[in-house]
Amino acid sequence: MNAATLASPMPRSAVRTDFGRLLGWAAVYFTLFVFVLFFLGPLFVMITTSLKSIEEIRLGTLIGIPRHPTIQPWIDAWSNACVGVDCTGLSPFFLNTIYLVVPATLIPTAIGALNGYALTQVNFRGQNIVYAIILFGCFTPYQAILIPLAQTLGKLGLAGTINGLILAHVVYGLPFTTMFFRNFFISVPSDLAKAARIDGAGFFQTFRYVMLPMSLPIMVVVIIWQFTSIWNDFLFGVAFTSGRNVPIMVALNNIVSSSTGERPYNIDMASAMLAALPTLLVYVFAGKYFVRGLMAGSVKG
Amino acid sequence: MAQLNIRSLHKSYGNLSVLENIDIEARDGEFLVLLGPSGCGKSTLLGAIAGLEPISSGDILISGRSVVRLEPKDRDIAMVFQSYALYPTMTVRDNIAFGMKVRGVAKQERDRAIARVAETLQIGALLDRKPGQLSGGQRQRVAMGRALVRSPKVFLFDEPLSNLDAKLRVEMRAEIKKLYQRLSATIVYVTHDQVEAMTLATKIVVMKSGVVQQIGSPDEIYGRPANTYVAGFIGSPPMNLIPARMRRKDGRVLLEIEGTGDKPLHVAISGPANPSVTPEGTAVIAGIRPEAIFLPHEKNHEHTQKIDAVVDLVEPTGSDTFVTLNLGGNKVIARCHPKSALKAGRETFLVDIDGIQIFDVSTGMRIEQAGEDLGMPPVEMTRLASG
Repeated sequence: MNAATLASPMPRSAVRTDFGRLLGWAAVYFTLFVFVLFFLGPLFVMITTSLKSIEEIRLGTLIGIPRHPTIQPWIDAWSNACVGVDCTGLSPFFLNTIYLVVPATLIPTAIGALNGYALTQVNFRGQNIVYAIILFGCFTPYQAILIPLAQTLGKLGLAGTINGLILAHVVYGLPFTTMFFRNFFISVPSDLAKAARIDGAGFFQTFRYVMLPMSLPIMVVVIIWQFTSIWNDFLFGVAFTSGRNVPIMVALNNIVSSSTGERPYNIDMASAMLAALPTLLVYVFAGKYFVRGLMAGSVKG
Repeated sequence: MAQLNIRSLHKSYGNLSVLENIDIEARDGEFLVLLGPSGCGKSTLLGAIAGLEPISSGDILISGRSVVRLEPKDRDIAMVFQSYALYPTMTVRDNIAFGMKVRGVAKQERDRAIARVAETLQIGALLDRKPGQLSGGQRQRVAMGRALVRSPKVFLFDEPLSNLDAKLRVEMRAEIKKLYQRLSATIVYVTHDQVEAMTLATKIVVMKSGVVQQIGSPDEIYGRPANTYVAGFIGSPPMNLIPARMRRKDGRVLLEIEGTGDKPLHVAISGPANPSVTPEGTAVIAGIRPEAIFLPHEKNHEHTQKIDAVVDLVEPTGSDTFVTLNLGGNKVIARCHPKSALKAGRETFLVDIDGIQIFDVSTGMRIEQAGEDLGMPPVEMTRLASG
């Protein structure tokens, strides 16, 4: 055996593995491409349809580039479309939802941060039971609490109002926000709290100056989570509000279901796009924080 | 600057006792090192001094004032953590200033204090950075700065160097020592690294399983370990511990070690200060530091004893060559000169008789030898042939 005989089979097998690897990558990319089409297809149809006039939809097929693009359906969806009996478009309901989503996101986030921190710092009997109950709160289905919650809101005089819906989302959001923050703070080295204690900071000072600024990544996650789940909520909205007080998802439903005769697909599609846009934008702008936040704790920071 | 007294301190979690009857006194300006393996309770003890760990009973006094019931911030202490525990979202400046800010110190005064500490630790250029942008050594400095800025009565260090790489650790160790010499502060320093303990301490407390094994100066701890545990823990390589028997012959005290040949090896020692503790034939443990065993040409010692041993292994480290000997079935390590040519096989060594310690077999406690207290040479000066 000399070096030459040993070396000769090497290049051939190297070529073979290179080809195999190439084929593997091709398969991966092809699969991904199919999935991209699958997911983007409906969005494509929505956008193109929303830019067509009703005549064009009537004549042509659903799929196809609009021949005479128009933004009239978007304008109609925003300000003219009939939601139930009022033909106001989505705009008042959009504002309703902003009015709903801001406090219903910020309040549980703030309380959840404090709760979560307290659960990791203050030792008390039954701590684990409290945490288990909070977890249970996360996994309680909406439907199970719908009637008791409606009764409570009724007794509080908040039935049918946006404020009532805010309260419902605050209460329902607390277990989630507490759990998120608790799981974040549990990963913060205990030495930090000790150092702050030696520095003379009390519980709230440590929370305010040391812990809260550190929790920014998880706070972004919590805010996105709360924002999207409230924005996209339909069940609470339809159960606890009515008439002009409904949030955007309920309004969207009303737009689609209140059209009579010929369906204005273009306006429906534009309305759906308008209703989905805020959550989409949140992900576009804060998505990287979202991923970073979900990873926080797994990597020592 | 102040003295620290710990009096019959106990701490237990339920039935599990983690600190038992700790009595420690550190005078003003003492560099007290708590030394022991992981889980010996040294960090818990430090936490108790800091006020982060509640104690079960006993007392802790700083400057004569009991601090047991005080919050950490009121104990007039500052602590450097193993993990540095720098506040990650704050700049170095804010990290150092945080304690003052919380206590409501005026901005002007804070800035002055920061400038002073930054100057001392040479971290002026880092003040506006965040901890994440600093190297390990720089973080270490900032952590010290945060402690320094308080000018506390007692500094507490919890294994401050163990997260640094070997080279940096040596540098920072020297810096801590320089800092100590300049501040002449009272320091309590926890470490599991005996080299840190030996180089830094004015007083070492060796701990094991929550019990203090010995308190003494580095010299005392090294030269006269209180028991076999300390003897085996301190020194690198540690003291050789060899089973032996006490013999008496012609009025001389002999230590009988199983020799390399058929005959046991006899070494004349000064013997216990109180001869009645070790009657004829008592089994003891002989402790010999590696540097007390050497080759005949290496050192001139008055009181030496020739021993024949089989060389099993030769490990040169550059500055020293460690030689593993087989002495009657016991593994014994000798520290030899690197220039001494050694190879495996039978070799004659000299043992420094003054360097031999004896320990009680059952308790492991060191047995005081005659003449030791006065630092006098042993009574017996004649060299005895083995056997």
